[in-house]
Amino acid sequence: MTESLPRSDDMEAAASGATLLDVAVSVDYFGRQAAVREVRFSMERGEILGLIGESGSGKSTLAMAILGLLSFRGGKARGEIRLQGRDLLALPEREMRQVRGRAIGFVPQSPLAALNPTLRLDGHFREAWRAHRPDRNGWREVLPDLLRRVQLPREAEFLRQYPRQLSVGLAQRVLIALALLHNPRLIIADEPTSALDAITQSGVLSLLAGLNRDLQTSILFISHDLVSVARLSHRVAILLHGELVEQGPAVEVFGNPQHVYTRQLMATLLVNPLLRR
Amino acid sequence: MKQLRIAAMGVLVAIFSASLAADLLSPHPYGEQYRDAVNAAPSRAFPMGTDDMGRDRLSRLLHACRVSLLLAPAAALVATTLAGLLGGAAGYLGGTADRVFLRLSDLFLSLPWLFLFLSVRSLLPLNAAPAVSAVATFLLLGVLGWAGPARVARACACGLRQSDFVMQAKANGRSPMRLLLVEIVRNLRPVLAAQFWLAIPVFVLAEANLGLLGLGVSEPLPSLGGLLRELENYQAVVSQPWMVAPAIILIGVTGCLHLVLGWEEIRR
Repeated sequence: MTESLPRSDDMEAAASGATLLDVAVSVDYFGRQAAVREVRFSMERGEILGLIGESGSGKSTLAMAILGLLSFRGGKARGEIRLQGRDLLALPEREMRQVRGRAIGFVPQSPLAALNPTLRLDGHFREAWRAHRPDRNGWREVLPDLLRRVQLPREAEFLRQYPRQLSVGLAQRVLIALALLHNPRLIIADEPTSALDAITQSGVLSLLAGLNRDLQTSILFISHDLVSVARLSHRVAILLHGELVEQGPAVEVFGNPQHVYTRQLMATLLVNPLLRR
Repeated sequence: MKQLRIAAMGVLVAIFSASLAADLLSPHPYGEQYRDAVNAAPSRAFPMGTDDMGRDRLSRLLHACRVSLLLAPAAALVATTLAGLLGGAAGYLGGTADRVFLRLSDLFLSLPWLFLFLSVRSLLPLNAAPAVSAVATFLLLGVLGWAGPARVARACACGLRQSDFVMQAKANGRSPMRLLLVEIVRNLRPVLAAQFWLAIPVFVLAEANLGLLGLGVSEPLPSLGGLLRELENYQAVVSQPWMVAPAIILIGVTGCLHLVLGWEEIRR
């Protein structure tokens, strides 16, 4: 699948070194200043960064800011978000639209709510394909490999189904497949496992880890579930009330937490999952 | 209640198919005048009698149903399509577009319907061909009747704009036009369908109102409104009670449509 879809931004990336994403950003919402305050982090190619924080700490706000979708939620980002050297905050909407879905894939929190209830599954792939490619039916060629990769049935009957006919786990795999359709450099997964049962959750985490290993796709893994983050992430960043209080390699943050809040978080783990890894 | 709805559906199907087959079922051409049988009572030759110009009432009623009952859904389609696009776009875009839409629809809703139609319809030349006048009347009804359904569509689109699947579609980099058509308008279809069914009886009645004032479909083409105009003459109605048939048909169709619409809602 990946061989047939060359990444258009390879040349540009080669020029800007190995750093994929460089974020230094504050976010204001209408009526609520500084929901996110001067958050700085960067991501390397092929890296999984786990972003941990409680509800309302600004995790999803950061995801929306990177995707340039804050304005639809009444927010505004200040600072810089550089993807392979290009400042996304300075891009006009028309160009930002080319980045969404193509350079950055997005996997949301509630899989069933994130699929259009009136559109069959193949319609979702068709629409996502048409957003960035001029050929109308190219998605039919890449789809079998894509579905195999995310372990979804490849039968035509499956693709003729409506979202309401799917289980949550299947729906989340469909969304991961949609995020992978244009083979993006970066996938932002905003609490992708929070709606799933333990077994399905484990399957989705393995899938994400596999994508990272095989395709070198970087993943910004946003979660409040420490175990998932520990299992998946190379590095970890801790967000508290809109500020980044600690970041570093997963082994260090989990093994030797510095900030008071991080220590509190680690104390909630009955067994430190890294010791069992 | 269910039997009643099935019966209503049966009545509608019967009236619609009779009006579709008006050319076959009519005993006489609708414009043909029989000067020696003016205001005739029902007879074998004229099952519902003739009007004051000697034209067969049954033939005129069948053709009138065809004009009103085919063009009213067409006008409702125009109105709900406009409503879906305008209301959907306003609710989806929000901001200035939404405010402009709200003021514009306020304006259309607050204008007195009948006077609006009167002034716009009177701009058409009085000697326009009957078929042209029929299409123009219903087209006007459709084009001017968008505001109410559009407000409903807009309210629903506002809710859809914040939905997860619209956000997801945006995160996929979809174009605003595809978003509007595939994510918004597609999900407005159940609401628009209800608005469509509601608009049909309203438009049939609106045409009848215009017809009463002589500004509907022009002679000799019959429409339900045109036929109802005859009922203004009370003396004639008393002496020829069969003249009431168009009114009964109109009340029947409106009532049956509402019964069937209720059924649609329950199924949904």
